Amino acid sequence: MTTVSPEDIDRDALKRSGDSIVKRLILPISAALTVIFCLAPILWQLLTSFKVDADIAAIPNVYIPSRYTLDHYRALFERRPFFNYILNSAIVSIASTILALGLGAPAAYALARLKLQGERILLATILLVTLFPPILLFLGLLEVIRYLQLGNNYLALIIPYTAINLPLTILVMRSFFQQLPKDLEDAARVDGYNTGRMLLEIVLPITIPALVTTGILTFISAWNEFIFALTFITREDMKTVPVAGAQLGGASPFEVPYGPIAAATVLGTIPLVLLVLFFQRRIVQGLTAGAVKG
Amino acid sequence: MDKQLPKSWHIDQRQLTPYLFLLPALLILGLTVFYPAIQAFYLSFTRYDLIDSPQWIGVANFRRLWADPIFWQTLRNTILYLVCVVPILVIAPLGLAILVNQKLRGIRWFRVAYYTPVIISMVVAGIAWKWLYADNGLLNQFLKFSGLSTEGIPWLTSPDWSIFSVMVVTIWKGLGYYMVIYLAGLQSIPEDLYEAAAIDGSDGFRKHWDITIPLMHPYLFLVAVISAISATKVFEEIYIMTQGGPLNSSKTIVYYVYEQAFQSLEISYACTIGLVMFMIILALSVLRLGVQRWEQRA
Repeated sequence: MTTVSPEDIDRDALKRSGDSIVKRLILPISAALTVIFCLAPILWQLLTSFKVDADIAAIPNVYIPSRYTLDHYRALFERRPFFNYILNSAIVSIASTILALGLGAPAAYALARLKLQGERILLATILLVTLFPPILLFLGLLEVIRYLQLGNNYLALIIPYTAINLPLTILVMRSFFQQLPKDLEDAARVDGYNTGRMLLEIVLPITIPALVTTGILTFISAWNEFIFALTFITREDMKTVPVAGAQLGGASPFEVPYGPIAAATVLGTIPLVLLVLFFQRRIVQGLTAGAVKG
Repeated sequence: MDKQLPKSWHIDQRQLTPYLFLLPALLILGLTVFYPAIQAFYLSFTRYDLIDSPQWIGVANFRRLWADPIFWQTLRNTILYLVCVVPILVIAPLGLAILVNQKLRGIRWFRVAYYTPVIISMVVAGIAWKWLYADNGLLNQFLKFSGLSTEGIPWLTSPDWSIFSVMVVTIWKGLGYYMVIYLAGLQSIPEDLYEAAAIDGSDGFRKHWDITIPLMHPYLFLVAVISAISATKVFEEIYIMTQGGPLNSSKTIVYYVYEQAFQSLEISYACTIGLVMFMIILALSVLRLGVQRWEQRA
Protein backbone atom coordinates (compact mmCIF):
# COMPACT_ATOMS: atom_id res chain seq x y z
CA MET A 1 0.00 0.00 0.00
CA THR A 2 2.96 2.32 -0.32
CA THR A 3 2.35 3.29 -3.93
CA VAL A 4 -0.63 5.55 -4.39
CA SER A 5 -2.25 5.56 -7.80
CA PRO A 6 -5.03 7.98 -8.82
CA GLU A 7 -7.63 5.24 -8.45
CA ASP A 8 -6.57 4.62 -4.87
CA ILE A 9 -7.11 8.24 -3.97
CA ASP A 10 -10.60 8.22 -5.49
CA ARG A 11 -11.58 5.12 -3.63
CA ASP A 12 -10.13 6.46 -0.43
CA ALA A 13 -12.19 9.59 -0.80
CA LEU A 14 -15.31 7.46 -1.05
CA LYS A 15 -14.35 5.28 1.86
CA ARG A 16 -13.37 8.16 4.06
CA SER A 17 -16.88 9.19 4.93
CA GLY A 18 -17.65 5.77 6.42
CA ASP A 19 -14.37 5.00 8.03
CA SER A 20 -13.42 8.40 9.30
CA ILE A 21 -15.54 8.52 12.44
CA VAL A 22 -14.28 5.17 13.53
CA LYS A 23 -10.73 5.94 12.54
CA ARG A 24 -10.47 9.44 13.90
CA LEU A 25 -12.53 9.23 17.04
CA ILE A 26 -13.57 5.87 18.35
CA LEU A 27 -10.32 4.11 17.60
CA PRO A 28 -7.93 6.59 19.21
CA ILE A 29 -10.19 7.11 22.21
CA SER A 30 -10.60 3.43 22.94
CA ALA A 31 -6.90 2.87 22.33
CA ALA A 32 -6.05 5.63 24.78
CA LEU A 33 -8.56 4.44 27.38
CA THR A 34 -7.08 0.97 27.16
CA VAL A 35 -3.63 2.43 27.71
CA ILE A 36 -4.91 4.15 30.85
CA PHE A 37 -6.60 0.95 32.00
CA CYS A 38 -3.39 -1.01 31.48
CA LEU A 39 -0.95 1.45 32.97
CA ALA A 40 -2.80 3.28 35.74
CA PRO A 41 -2.41 0.58 38.41
CA ILE A 42 1.29 0.28 37.63
CA LEU A 43 1.94 4.00 37.53
CA TRP A 44 0.12 4.37 40.81
CA GLN A 45 2.48 1.81 42.32
CA LEU A 46 5.45 3.60 40.81
CA LEU A 47 4.29 6.90 42.26
CA THR A 48 3.62 5.29 45.64
CA SER A 49 7.10 3.83 45.78
CA PHE A 50 8.52 7.36 45.83
CA LYS A 51 6.00 8.91 48.22
CA VAL A 52 6.68 9.52 51.89
CA ASP A 53 4.54 7.50 54.29
CA ALA A 54 2.36 10.46 55.25
CA ASP A 55 1.43 11.05 51.62
CA ILE A 56 0.70 7.37 51.05
CA ALA A 57 -1.77 7.29 53.94
CA ALA A 58 -3.33 10.66 53.12
CA ILE A 59 -7.01 10.95 52.24
CA PRO A 60 -7.84 12.37 49.75
CA ASN A 61 -5.08 10.82 47.69
CA VAL A 62 -1.98 12.77 46.91
CA TYR A 63 -1.62 12.70 43.15
CA ILE A 64 1.31 15.04 42.85
CA PRO A 65 3.45 14.76 45.97
CA SER A 66 5.54 17.69 47.06
CA ARG A 67 8.18 15.40 48.58
CA TYR A 68 9.80 12.31 47.10
CA THR A 69 11.84 9.67 48.88
CA LEU A 70 14.00 6.64 48.15
CA ASP A 71 13.55 5.25 51.65
CA HIS A 72 11.27 2.43 50.54
CA TYR A 73 13.89 1.17 48.11
CA ARG A 74 16.63 1.51 50.65
CA ALA A 75 14.53 -0.49 53.11
CA LEU A 76 14.26 -3.37 50.63
CA PHE A 77 18.00 -3.74 50.28
CA GLU A 78 18.95 -2.94 53.84
CA ARG A 79 16.40 -5.01 55.68
CA ARG A 80 16.02 -7.80 53.16
CA PRO A 81 18.28 -9.55 50.62
CA PHE A 82 16.30 -8.09 47.74
CA PHE A 83 19.15 -8.39 45.29
CA ASN A 84 19.19 -12.11 46.03
CA TYR A 85 15.47 -12.37 45.33
CA ILE A 86 15.98 -10.85 41.89
CA LEU A 87 18.95 -13.09 41.22
CA ASN A 88 16.97 -16.17 42.28
CA SER A 89 14.08 -15.28 40.04
CA ALA A 90 16.49 -14.72 37.17
CA ILE A 91 18.28 -18.05 37.60
CA VAL A 92 15.09 -20.04 37.89
CA SER A 93 13.33 -18.29 35.01
CA ILE A 94 16.24 -18.39 32.57
CA ALA A 95 16.97 -22.04 33.26
CA SER A 96 13.37 -23.13 32.85
CA THR A 97 12.96 -21.07 29.70
CA ILE A 98 16.00 -22.66 28.08
CA LEU A 99 14.86 -26.10 29.19
CA ALA A 100 11.31 -25.59 27.95
CA LEU A 101 12.56 -24.44 24.55
CA GLY A 102 15.23 -27.11 24.36
CA LEU A 103 12.82 -29.90 25.16
CA GLY A 104 9.76 -28.35 23.59
CA ALA A 105 11.10 -27.44 20.15
CA PRO A 106 12.15 -30.97 19.11
CA ALA A 107 8.91 -32.39 20.49
CA ALA A 108 6.91 -29.77 18.62
CA TYR A 109 8.83 -30.49 15.45
CA ALA A 110 8.19 -34.20 15.76
CA LEU A 111 4.50 -33.52 16.20
CA ALA A 112 4.35 -31.03 13.36
CA ARG A 113 6.41 -32.71 10.69
CA LEU A 114 7.63 -36.20 11.45
CA LYS A 115 5.88 -39.50 10.92
CA LEU A 116 4.62 -40.58 14.26
CA GLN A 117 2.48 -43.42 15.50
CA GLY A 118 -0.20 -42.25 17.90
CA GLU A 119 0.36 -38.59 17.16
CA ARG A 120 -3.17 -37.75 18.24
CA ILE A 121 -2.82 -39.51 21.55
CA LEU A 122 0.46 -37.74 22.23
CA LEU A 123 -1.06 -34.39 21.39
CA ALA A 124 -4.05 -35.12 23.58
CA THR A 125 -1.72 -36.12 26.40
CA ILE A 126 0.14 -32.85 26.11
CA LEU A 127 -3.13 -30.92 26.01
CA LEU A 128 -4.21 -32.85 29.07
CA VAL A 129 -1.29 -31.42 31.00
CA THR A 130 -2.57 -27.90 30.52
CA LEU A 131 -5.82 -28.91 32.15
CA PHE A 132 -4.40 -29.94 35.49
CA PRO A 133 -4.67 -27.16 38.01
CA PRO A 134 -1.15 -26.85 39.47
CA ILE A 135 -2.61 -27.07 42.98
CA LEU A 136 -3.71 -30.60 42.24
CA LEU A 137 -0.12 -31.59 41.43
CA PHE A 138 1.20 -30.22 44.64
CA LEU A 139 1.25 -33.16 46.97
CA GLY A 140 2.65 -35.59 44.46
CA LEU A 141 5.26 -33.04 43.46
CA LEU A 142 6.24 -32.49 47.06
CA GLU A 143 6.89 -36.21 47.28
CA VAL A 144 8.97 -36.21 44.10
CA ILE A 145 10.98 -33.30 45.42
CA ARG A 146 11.46 -34.94 48.78
CA TYR A 147 12.49 -38.18 47.08
CA LEU A 148 15.01 -36.45 44.84
CA GLN A 149 16.11 -34.30 47.80
CA LEU A 150 15.53 -31.09 45.93
CA GLY A 151 14.03 -29.06 48.76
CA ASN A 152 15.57 -25.58 48.81
CA ASN A 153 17.24 -26.29 45.49
CA TYR A 154 16.65 -24.23 42.38
CA LEU A 155 15.78 -27.44 40.54
CA ALA A 156 12.69 -27.76 42.73
CA LEU A 157 11.35 -24.77 40.84
CA ILE A 158 13.10 -25.15 37.50
CA ILE A 159 11.69 -28.60 36.80
CA PRO A 160 8.03 -27.82 37.56
CA TYR A 161 8.23 -24.48 35.73
CA THR A 162 9.63 -26.24 32.68
CA ALA A 163 6.90 -28.85 32.84
CA ILE A 164 4.12 -26.32 33.27
CA ASN A 165 5.34 -24.32 30.28
CA LEU A 166 6.17 -27.25 28.02
CA PRO A 167 2.66 -27.81 26.66
CA LEU A 168 2.24 -24.21 25.56
CA THR A 169 5.74 -24.19 24.09
CA ILE A 170 5.02 -27.38 22.20
CA LEU A 171 1.62 -26.27 20.93
CA VAL A 172 2.76 -22.83 19.84
CA MET A 173 6.01 -24.06 18.27
CA ARG A 174 4.13 -26.82 16.53
CA SER A 175 1.80 -24.37 14.87
CA PHE A 176 4.80 -22.27 13.83
CA PHE A 177 6.51 -25.30 12.33
CA GLN A 178 3.38 -26.26 10.46
CA GLN A 179 3.27 -22.85 8.85
CA LEU A 180 6.81 -23.11 7.54
CA PRO A 181 7.04 -23.85 3.84
CA LYS A 182 8.31 -27.37 3.32
CA ASP A 183 10.74 -26.51 0.52
CA LEU A 184 13.65 -25.80 2.82
CA GLU A 185 13.39 -29.11 4.59
CA ASP A 186 12.96 -30.99 1.34
CA ALA A 187 16.08 -29.32 0.01
CA ALA A 188 17.95 -30.17 3.20
CA ARG A 189 16.92 -33.82 2.90
CA VAL A 190 18.25 -33.87 -0.63
CA ASP A 191 21.49 -32.44 0.69
CA GLY A 192 21.70 -35.38 3.08
CA TYR A 193 20.91 -33.65 6.37
CA ASN A 194 19.54 -35.93 9.06
CA THR A 195 16.54 -34.79 11.04
CA GLY A 196 18.47 -33.55 14.05
CA ARG A 197 20.90 -31.47 12.03
CA MET A 198 18.09 -30.15 9.87
CA LEU A 199 16.17 -28.97 12.93
CA LEU A 200 19.23 -27.40 14.47
CA GLU A 201 20.78 -25.76 11.41
CA ILE A 202 17.85 -24.99 9.16
CA VAL A 203 14.49 -25.01 10.87
CA LEU A 204 15.35 -23.40 14.21
CA PRO A 205 17.32 -20.47 12.79
CA ILE A 206 14.35 -19.35 10.73
CA THR A 207 12.02 -19.76 13.68
CA ILE A 208 14.06 -17.62 16.04
CA PRO A 209 11.31 -15.01 16.31
CA ALA A 210 8.92 -17.79 17.27
CA LEU A 211 11.40 -19.15 19.79
CA VAL A 212 11.83 -15.70 21.27
CA THR A 213 8.08 -15.18 21.49
CA THR A 214 7.51 -18.53 23.15
CA GLY A 215 10.56 -18.11 25.34
CA ILE A 216 9.40 -14.76 26.62
CA LEU A 217 6.02 -16.20 27.54
CA THR A 218 7.75 -18.99 29.46
CA PHE A 219 10.17 -16.63 31.14
CA ILE A 220 7.40 -14.36 32.34
CA SER A 221 5.32 -17.22 33.64
CA ALA A 222 8.31 -18.59 35.54
CA TRP A 223 9.27 -15.18 36.88
CA ASN A 224 5.76 -14.63 38.16
CA GLU A 225 5.03 -18.04 39.59
CA PHE A 226 4.01 -17.86 43.19
CA ILE A 227 2.59 -20.99 44.78
CA PHE A 228 5.39 -23.43 44.02
CA ALA A 229 7.98 -20.85 44.94
CA LEU A 230 6.16 -20.22 48.19
CA THR A 231 6.06 -23.90 49.11
CA PHE A 232 9.23 -25.48 47.78
CA ILE A 233 11.69 -22.81 48.85
CA THR A 234 11.85 -21.93 52.50
CA ARG A 235 15.37 -20.55 52.78
CA GLU A 236 15.14 -16.78 52.97
CA ASP A 237 18.04 -16.07 50.62
CA MET A 238 16.66 -18.39 47.94
CA LYS A 239 13.19 -16.88 47.68
CA THR A 240 11.93 -15.39 44.45
CA VAL A 241 10.58 -11.89 43.93
CA PRO A 242 6.82 -12.66 44.01
CA VAL A 243 7.13 -14.60 47.26
CA ALA A 244 9.23 -11.86 48.80
CA GLY A 245 6.72 -9.27 47.62
CA ALA A 246 3.76 -11.15 49.03
CA GLN A 247 5.51 -11.71 52.32
CA LEU A 248 6.03 -8.00 52.72
CA GLY A 249 2.43 -8.09 53.87
CA GLY A 250 0.37 -8.19 50.71
CA ALA A 251 -1.94 -10.92 51.83
CA SER A 252 -2.70 -9.49 55.25
CA PRO A 253 -5.27 -6.72 55.57
CA PHE A 254 -3.60 -4.99 58.50
CA GLU A 255 -0.58 -2.73 58.68
CA VAL A 256 0.32 -3.04 55.04
CA PRO A 257 3.71 -1.50 54.32
CA TYR A 258 2.56 0.05 51.06
CA GLY A 259 5.76 1.92 50.34
CA PRO A 260 8.16 -1.05 50.40
CA ILE A 261 5.60 -3.21 48.58
CA ALA A 262 5.33 -0.63 45.83
CA ALA A 263 9.10 -0.39 45.63
CA ALA A 264 9.33 -4.18 45.40
CA THR A 265 6.76 -4.11 42.61
CA VAL A 266 8.81 -1.65 40.66
CA LEU A 267 12.13 -3.41 41.17
CA GLY A 268 10.69 -6.81 40.34
CA THR A 269 9.14 -5.49 37.18
CA ILE A 270 11.99 -3.44 35.75
CA PRO A 271 13.95 -6.44 34.40
CA LEU A 272 10.85 -7.69 32.60
CA VAL A 273 10.03 -4.30 31.11
CA LEU A 274 13.60 -4.07 29.82
CA LEU A 275 13.34 -7.55 28.37
CA VAL A 276 10.14 -6.78 26.51
CA LEU A 277 11.44 -3.43 25.28
CA PHE A 278 14.60 -5.09 24.06
CA PHE A 279 12.96 -8.01 22.32
CA GLN A 280 9.69 -6.57 21.17
CA ARG A 281 10.98 -5.63 17.73
CA ARG A 282 12.06 -9.21 17.30
CA ILE A 283 8.70 -10.57 18.43
CA VAL A 284 7.08 -8.36 15.92
CA GLN A 285 9.30 -9.23 12.98
CA GLY A 286 7.76 -11.35 10.35
CA LEU A 287 7.99 -14.91 11.53
CA THR A 288 9.19 -16.49 8.34
CA ALA A 289 10.23 -13.23 6.75
CA GLY A 290 12.79 -13.72 4.03
CA ALA A 291 13.13 -17.43 4.62
CA VAL A 292 11.96 -18.70 1.25
CA LYS A 293 12.44 -15.66 -0.89
CA GLY A 294 15.65 -16.83 -2.54
CA MET B 1 7.89 -58.07 17.49
CA ASP B 2 11.05 -60.03 18.27
CA LYS B 3 10.96 -61.93 15.02
CA GLN B 4 10.87 -58.78 12.99
CA LEU B 5 13.62 -57.18 14.93
CA PRO B 6 16.49 -57.58 12.45
CA LYS B 7 14.50 -56.06 9.64
CA SER B 8 12.93 -53.18 11.51
CA TRP B 9 16.16 -52.52 13.39
CA HIS B 10 17.67 -51.55 10.13
CA ILE B 11 15.03 -49.14 8.89
CA ASP B 12 14.52 -47.58 12.06
CA GLN B 13 17.13 -45.21 13.00
CA ARG B 14 14.98 -42.72 11.13
CA GLN B 15 11.63 -43.90 12.35
CA LEU B 16 12.91 -43.71 15.87
CA THR B 17 13.97 -40.07 15.64
CA PRO B 18 10.52 -38.55 16.26
CA TYR B 19 10.17 -40.52 19.47
CA LEU B 20 13.61 -39.49 20.62
CA PHE B 21 12.59 -35.90 19.96
CA LEU B 22 9.56 -36.36 22.16
CA LEU B 23 11.10 -38.43 24.92
CA PRO B 24 12.75 -35.76 27.11
CA ALA B 25 9.64 -33.60 27.11
CA LEU B 26 7.44 -36.55 27.98
CA LEU B 27 9.80 -37.68 30.74
CA ILE B 28 9.71 -34.35 32.51
CA LEU B 29 5.95 -34.15 32.10
CA GLY B 30 5.61 -37.64 33.51
CA LEU B 31 7.69 -36.84 36.54
CA THR B 32 6.13 -33.51 37.43
CA VAL B 33 2.61 -33.76 36.06
CA PHE B 34 1.38 -37.28 35.46
CA TYR B 35 2.82 -38.93 38.53
CA PRO B 36 1.46 -36.26 40.88
CA ALA B 37 -1.87 -36.35 39.05
CA ILE B 38 -2.18 -40.09 39.52
CA GLN B 39 -1.21 -39.65 43.14
CA ALA B 40 -3.99 -37.08 43.57
CA PHE B 41 -6.43 -39.41 41.85
CA TYR B 42 -5.55 -42.17 44.30
CA LEU B 43 -5.73 -39.90 47.33
CA SER B 44 -9.25 -38.78 46.46
CA PHE B 45 -10.44 -42.28 47.41
CA THR B 46 -8.68 -42.18 50.76
CA ARG B 47 -8.64 -40.38 54.04
CA TYR B 48 -5.33 -38.55 54.34
CA ASP B 49 -4.17 -35.67 56.49
CA LEU B 50 -0.39 -35.67 55.88
CA ILE B 51 0.21 -37.29 59.27
CA ASP B 52 -1.14 -40.84 59.07
CA SER B 53 -0.73 -42.81 55.88
CA PRO B 54 -3.69 -42.76 53.46
CA GLN B 55 -6.64 -45.03 54.29
CA TRP B 56 -8.90 -46.32 51.52
CA ILE B 57 -12.45 -45.11 52.06
CA GLY B 58 -13.97 -45.64 48.63
CA VAL B 59 -16.28 -42.96 47.33
CA ALA B 60 -17.00 -41.35 50.69
CA ASN B 61 -15.23 -38.15 49.64
CA PHE B 62 -17.40 -37.94 46.54
CA ARG B 63 -20.55 -38.37 48.59
CA ARG B 64 -19.41 -35.62 50.88
CA LEU B 65 -18.74 -33.43 47.85
CA TRP B 66 -22.22 -33.96 46.44
CA ALA B 67 -23.74 -32.76 49.70
CA ASP B 68 -21.36 -29.84 50.13
CA PRO B 69 -23.13 -26.53 49.39
CA ILE B 70 -19.86 -24.62 49.29
CA PHE B 71 -18.60 -26.89 46.53
CA TRP B 72 -21.68 -26.09 44.45
CA GLN B 73 -21.24 -22.41 45.08
CA THR B 74 -17.60 -22.49 44.03
CA LEU B 75 -18.62 -24.41 40.92
CA ARG B 76 -21.19 -21.73 40.07
CA ASN B 77 -18.58 -19.04 40.67
CA THR B 78 -16.10 -20.77 38.39
CA ILE B 79 -18.66 -21.08 35.60
CA LEU B 80 -19.61 -17.44 36.03
CA TYR B 81 -15.93 -16.59 35.77
CA LEU B 82 -15.59 -18.51 32.52
CA VAL B 83 -18.69 -17.07 30.94
CA CYS B 84 -17.69 -13.50 31.70
CA VAL B 85 -13.94 -13.57 31.16
CA VAL B 86 -13.40 -15.80 28.13
CA PRO B 87 -15.44 -13.90 25.51
CA ILE B 88 -13.74 -10.64 26.49
CA LEU B 89 -10.31 -12.23 26.35
CA VAL B 90 -10.98 -13.73 22.92
CA ILE B 91 -12.29 -10.57 21.28
CA ALA B 92 -10.61 -7.56 22.89
CA PRO B 93 -6.99 -8.72 22.37
CA LEU B 94 -7.64 -9.33 18.67
CA GLY B 95 -8.76 -5.72 18.36
CA LEU B 96 -5.63 -4.59 20.17
CA ALA B 97 -3.43 -6.81 18.01
CA ILE B 98 -4.93 -5.38 14.81
CA LEU B 99 -4.44 -1.89 16.22
CA VAL B 100 -0.80 -2.30 17.18
CA ASN B 101 0.00 -4.25 14.03
CA GLN B 102 -0.45 -1.07 12.01
CA LYS B 103 2.63 0.65 10.77
CA LEU B 104 2.19 3.92 12.55
CA ARG B 105 4.77 6.05 14.29
CA GLY B 106 4.89 5.43 18.00
CA ILE B 107 2.67 2.37 17.79
CA ARG B 108 5.30 0.34 19.59
CA TRP B 109 4.62 2.35 22.74
CA PHE B 110 1.00 1.24 22.62
CA ARG B 111 2.21 -2.30 22.19
CA VAL B 112 4.43 -1.97 25.26
CA ALA B 113 1.62 -0.33 27.25
CA TYR B 114 -0.82 -3.14 26.53
CA TYR B 115 1.76 -5.75 27.23
CA THR B 116 2.95 -4.32 30.53
CA PRO B 117 0.28 -5.90 32.78
CA VAL B 118 1.30 -9.32 31.49
CA ILE B 119 4.79 -9.01 32.83
CA ILE B 120 3.70 -7.88 36.26
CA SER B 121 3.53 -10.78 38.66
CA MET B 122 -0.01 -11.62 39.70
CA VAL B 123 0.95 -11.13 43.32
CA VAL B 124 1.93 -7.58 42.62
CA ALA B 125 -1.04 -6.98 40.32
CA GLY B 126 -3.36 -8.28 43.01
CA ILE B 127 -1.81 -5.97 45.58
CA ALA B 128 -1.98 -2.99 43.22
CA TRP B 129 -5.65 -3.58 42.39
CA LYS B 130 -6.62 -4.38 45.94
CA TRP B 131 -5.36 -0.97 46.75
CA LEU B 132 -7.23 0.69 43.89
CA TYR B 133 -10.38 -1.07 45.06
CA ALA B 134 -10.00 -0.07 48.72
CA ASP B 135 -12.78 1.92 50.41
CA ASN B 136 -10.68 5.03 50.10
CA GLY B 137 -8.74 3.79 47.10
CA LEU B 138 -8.19 5.54 43.82
CA LEU B 139 -11.38 4.24 42.19
CA ASN B 140 -13.76 5.23 44.96
CA GLN B 141 -12.11 8.59 45.39
CA PHE B 142 -12.59 9.16 41.70
CA LEU B 143 -16.25 8.14 41.88
CA LYS B 144 -16.88 10.45 44.81
CA PHE B 145 -14.94 13.30 43.30
CA SER B 146 -16.74 13.08 39.98
CA GLY B 147 -20.12 12.78 41.70
CA LEU B 148 -20.90 9.41 40.10
CA SER B 149 -21.38 7.86 43.49
CA THR B 150 -21.52 9.40 46.95
CA GLU B 151 -20.81 6.22 48.87
CA GLY B 152 -18.27 4.60 46.61
CA ILE B 153 -18.53 0.99 45.56
CA PRO B 154 -17.61 -1.88 47.91
CA TRP B 155 -15.50 -3.49 45.18
CA LEU B 156 -14.04 -6.29 47.22
CA THR B 157 -16.14 -6.14 50.35
CA SER B 158 -19.59 -6.84 48.92
CA PRO B 159 -20.70 -10.31 47.80
CA ASP B 160 -22.38 -8.69 44.80
CA TRP B 161 -19.21 -7.08 43.52
CA SER B 162 -16.20 -9.05 44.64
CA ILE B 163 -16.04 -11.73 41.95
CA PHE B 164 -16.49 -9.18 39.18
CA SER B 165 -13.81 -6.97 40.65
CA VAL B 166 -11.43 -9.92 40.62
CA MET B 167 -12.40 -10.71 37.02
CA VAL B 168 -11.27 -7.25 35.98
CA VAL B 169 -7.79 -8.09 37.22
CA THR B 170 -7.73 -11.36 35.30
CA ILE B 171 -8.78 -9.52 32.15
CA TRP B 172 -6.34 -6.71 32.84
CA LYS B 173 -3.49 -9.18 33.01
CA GLY B 174 -4.67 -11.27 30.07
CA LEU B 175 -5.24 -8.64 27.36
CA GLY B 176 -1.62 -8.20 26.35
CA TYR B 177 -0.78 -11.88 26.57
CA TYR B 178 -3.41 -12.89 24.07
CA MET B 179 -2.62 -9.82 21.98
CA VAL B 180 0.89 -11.18 21.44
CA ILE B 181 -0.45 -14.56 20.37
CA TYR B 182 -2.72 -12.81 17.88
CA LEU B 183 0.11 -10.56 16.79
CA ALA B 184 2.21 -13.58 15.92
CA GLY B 185 -0.70 -14.83 13.83
CA LEU B 186 -1.26 -11.48 12.14
CA GLN B 187 2.39 -11.29 11.19
CA SER B 188 2.06 -14.56 9.36
CA ILE B 189 -0.69 -13.22 7.08
CA PRO B 190 1.04 -12.22 3.84
CA GLU B 191 0.83 -8.52 3.06
CA ASP B 192 -0.18 -9.20 -0.56
CA LEU B 193 -3.46 -10.68 0.61
CA TYR B 194 -4.48 -7.28 1.91
CA GLU B 195 -3.24 -5.62 -1.25
CA ALA B 196 -5.27 -8.03 -3.35
CA ALA B 197 -8.27 -7.39 -1.15
CA ALA B 198 -7.85 -3.65 -1.54
CA ILE B 199 -8.00 -4.05 -5.30
CA ASP B 200 -11.20 -6.02 -4.87
CA GLY B 201 -12.62 -3.15 -2.85
CA SER B 202 -12.16 -4.62 0.58
CA ASP B 203 -10.49 -1.96 2.64
CA GLY B 204 -10.56 -0.27 6.01
CA PHE B 205 -12.29 -2.40 8.55
CA ARG B 206 -13.87 -4.70 6.01
CA LYS B 207 -10.51 -6.13 5.13
CA HIS B 208 -10.21 -7.44 8.67
CA TRP B 209 -13.61 -9.04 8.40
CA ASP B 210 -12.79 -10.54 5.00
CA ILE B 211 -9.21 -11.64 5.62
CA THR B 212 -7.98 -11.28 9.17
CA ILE B 213 -10.78 -13.05 11.01
CA PRO B 214 -11.00 -16.11 8.73
CA LEU B 215 -7.22 -16.55 8.66
CA MET B 216 -6.94 -15.99 12.39
CA HIS B 217 -9.47 -18.71 13.08
CA PRO B 218 -6.90 -21.14 14.52
CA TYR B 219 -5.55 -18.42 16.78
CA LEU B 220 -9.02 -17.44 17.97
CA PHE B 221 -9.51 -21.05 18.85
CA LEU B 222 -6.15 -21.28 20.59
CA VAL B 223 -6.88 -18.18 22.66
CA ALA B 224 -10.36 -19.42 23.55
CA VAL B 225 -8.92 -22.69 24.81
CA ILE B 226 -6.03 -21.15 26.72
CA SER B 227 -8.10 -18.40 28.30
CA ALA B 228 -10.86 -20.82 29.27
CA ILE B 229 -8.41 -23.18 30.90
CA SER B 230 -6.66 -20.40 32.76
CA ALA B 231 -9.99 -18.92 33.84
CA THR B 232 -10.96 -22.19 35.50
CA LYS B 233 -7.62 -22.21 37.27
CA VAL B 234 -7.77 -18.68 38.65
CA PHE B 235 -6.15 -18.64 42.04
CA GLU B 236 -3.57 -16.01 42.83
CA GLU B 237 -5.80 -13.00 42.27
CA ILE B 238 -8.28 -14.45 44.72
CA TYR B 239 -5.60 -15.46 47.20
CA ILE B 240 -4.23 -11.94 47.28
CA MET B 241 -7.40 -9.88 46.95
CA THR B 242 -10.37 -11.55 48.60
CA GLN B 243 -9.36 -14.94 50.01
CA GLY B 244 -12.59 -16.16 48.43
CA GLY B 245 -14.80 -13.80 50.41
CA PRO B 246 -16.97 -12.19 51.39
CA LEU B 247 -19.34 -15.08 52.14
CA ASN B 248 -17.60 -17.32 49.58
CA SER B 249 -18.80 -14.97 46.85
CA SER B 250 -15.48 -14.95 45.01
CA LYS B 251 -14.37 -18.45 45.91
CA THR B 252 -13.56 -20.51 42.84
CA ILE B 253 -13.02 -24.26 42.79
CA VAL B 254 -9.24 -23.97 42.75
CA TYR B 255 -9.29 -21.68 45.72
CA TYR B 256 -11.54 -24.14 47.52
CA VAL B 257 -9.05 -26.92 46.75
CA TYR B 258 -6.29 -24.79 48.21
CA GLU B 259 -8.32 -23.93 51.27
CA GLN B 260 -9.20 -27.54 51.98
CA ALA B 261 -5.65 -28.77 51.42
CA PHE B 262 -3.58 -26.13 53.14
CA GLN B 263 -5.88 -24.51 55.66
CA SER B 264 -8.13 -27.39 56.73
CA LEU B 265 -5.50 -30.05 55.91
CA GLU B 266 -8.25 -32.10 54.29
CA ILE B 267 -5.79 -33.35 51.72
CA SER B 268 -7.83 -36.17 50.29
CA TYR B 269 -11.03 -34.14 50.12
CA ALA B 270 -9.07 -31.41 48.33
CA CYS B 271 -7.92 -34.02 45.83
CA THR B 272 -11.52 -35.09 45.31
CA ILE B 273 -12.65 -31.54 44.56
CA GLY B 274 -9.67 -31.11 42.26
CA LEU B 275 -10.47 -34.34 40.47
CA VAL B 276 -14.08 -33.36 39.84
CA MET B 277 -12.91 -29.99 38.61
CA PHE B 278 -10.44 -31.66 36.29
CA MET B 279 -13.22 -33.85 34.93
CA ILE B 280 -15.30 -30.78 34.17
CA ILE B 281 -12.43 -29.10 32.35
CA LEU B 282 -11.75 -32.31 30.49
CA ALA B 283 -15.39 -32.59 29.42
CA LEU B 284 -15.31 -28.99 28.20
CA SER B 285 -12.18 -29.55 26.15
CA VAL B 286 -13.44 -32.77 24.63
CA LEU B 287 -16.64 -30.98 23.69
CA ARG B 288 -14.61 -28.19 22.16
CA LEU B 289 -12.36 -30.56 20.25
CA GLY B 290 -15.50 -32.19 18.88
CA VAL B 291 -16.85 -28.85 17.73
CA GLN B 292 -13.55 -28.04 16.08
CA ARG B 293 -13.45 -31.31 14.20
CA TRP B 294 -17.06 -30.89 13.14
CA GLU B 295 -16.28 -27.39 11.88
CA GLN B 296 -13.32 -28.62 9.88
CA ARG B 297 -15.45 -31.24 8.24
CA ALA B 298 -18.23 -28.82 7.40
